[in-house]
Amino acid sequence: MPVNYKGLLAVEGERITRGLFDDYASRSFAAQARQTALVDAAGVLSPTIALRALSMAAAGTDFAGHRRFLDQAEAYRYALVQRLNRLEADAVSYADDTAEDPGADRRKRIDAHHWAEIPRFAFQAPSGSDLAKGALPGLAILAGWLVAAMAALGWATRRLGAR
Amino acid sequence: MRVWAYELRLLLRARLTLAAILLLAILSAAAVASGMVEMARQEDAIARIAPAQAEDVAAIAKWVDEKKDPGSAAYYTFHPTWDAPSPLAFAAIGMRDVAPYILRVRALGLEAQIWDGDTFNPELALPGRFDWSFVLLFLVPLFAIALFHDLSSGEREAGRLRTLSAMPGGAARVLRRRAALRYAALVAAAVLPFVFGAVLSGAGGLPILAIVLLAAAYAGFWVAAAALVARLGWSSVANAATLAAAWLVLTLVLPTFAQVAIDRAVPVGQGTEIARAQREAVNRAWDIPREATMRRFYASHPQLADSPPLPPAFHYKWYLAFHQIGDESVAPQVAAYRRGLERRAAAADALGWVLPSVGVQAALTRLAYTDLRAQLAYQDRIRAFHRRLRAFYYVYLFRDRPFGRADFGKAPTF
Repeated sequence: MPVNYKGLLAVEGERITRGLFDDYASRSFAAQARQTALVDAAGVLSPTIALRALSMAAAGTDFAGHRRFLDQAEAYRYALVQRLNRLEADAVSYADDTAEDPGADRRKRIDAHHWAEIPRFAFQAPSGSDLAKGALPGLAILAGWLVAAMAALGWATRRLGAR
Repeated sequence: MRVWAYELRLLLRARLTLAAILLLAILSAAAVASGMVEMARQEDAIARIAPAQAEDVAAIAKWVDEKKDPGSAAYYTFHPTWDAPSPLAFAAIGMRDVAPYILRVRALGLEAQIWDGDTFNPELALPGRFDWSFVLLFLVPLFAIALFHDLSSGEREAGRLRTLSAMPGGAARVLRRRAALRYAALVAAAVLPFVFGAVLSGAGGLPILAIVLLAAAYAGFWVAAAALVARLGWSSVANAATLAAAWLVLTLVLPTFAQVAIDRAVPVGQGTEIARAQREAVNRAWDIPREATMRRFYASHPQLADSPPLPPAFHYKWYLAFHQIGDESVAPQVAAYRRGLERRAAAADALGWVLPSVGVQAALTRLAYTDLRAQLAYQDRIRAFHRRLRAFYYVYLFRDRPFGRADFGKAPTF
């Protein structure tokens, strides 16, 4: 065979386990997103919550920001592992990979320059418009609070005149 | 006795006072209920371990039994550990909401496993738990201020103080009686739901009594603060503002500053740094001669040194040996990290003698067994269990004893 079957097995195995982990992670994320949505909805009851949601979303430190990082880190990890698995398939022979003699460990190894070729992880920061979009719900709730406060103020000052 | 009955009737007739005490009782009951629900959830999760573990082990035993390799059994079998909540944990959840209370470990390097935790929603963990300790520490003082800030100034503003002073025994006697009654109502509203929950959870009488006394003393501190401010003879509004400012400084501002100061004075690394250092020590084993690893391992495990030499092919005893060495190589960092955490806790405890809210919080989590010490004690139990696990598998590995299906049942249990 022109390729190392063990490497192909590793590629496919990683693909399957990643699918499994992805499934569990997305279920956990969905549950957390529902919890966060509930908290955000409570901003209608308390402007403190709305303000916190707004500022965290605008700064990119909210749940969406947390998930943004986790998603990118997982994508990087998957690309890295699959690259190593493909290297095993292409750069290591099946005979060496399955050998168990004392020198086999040396022959299974590949040159260290492969490491240098692997790109470094670079976090893609969200764009300003993305952050602004995330802050909109909090901003709307806060604007509602402002309108309510203004109305209350107007009502109070009208009574002030009558006194 | 008659005057007390009249005073009680007065208290029940003051709608605002009654509403405040009822509200406190409701908040206290809600906090107790939510804490108990959370602890029931944790107990339920712990109860689910055993069947899941049996299923997991059966699946591994099935294929390991074919070759009977103890290395595969040691590598693939997870062993559960757990930290069941104490009966009083519902009252002060402490660190139990973010620190793991279930951890599955393998006989491999422990430092790569012990710093793992459960996933939790960081945004939900941010404001902290609404538990009974929160009600006691932050809300009870506010209710105490509401009930006591106008005890004498309110009478003066209503123009009754002079009449009261003209009574036999003077105004002080009436006000003292009134204060005692309000204090009793305040403490009862805060503490009765807790006592109910604690008895329901099966807590011992002594810790319950200790917490009740602690709560009464803490409420008493705020009542005394109100009495002290009242002596200045200011208006009710000025009293309330002064007391609210004291509450803000004593329960929020100073503890936060102190926390920052302690964290800066006692720097500690992160568990993940130890895990990473251990990982590098472990991975180095692949680049050095296997015999060097084994020599180092036998130096600390002389009772296994007569094990047969390594075969040319892969052998799990070498693999587990370098995991052990990896753990041993970071032992100084682990000890330093732990000392740092303990020094921080000691500093926070010392602060508790000056700041009542910090002191009461520390005492509560200590009595509820949810403080850092409890967390570290759980880690110690994991470490002890892990040592037993290693010893168990090493006997099979280093004596080349076959590991069959029946041997899975002989593994130590937590």
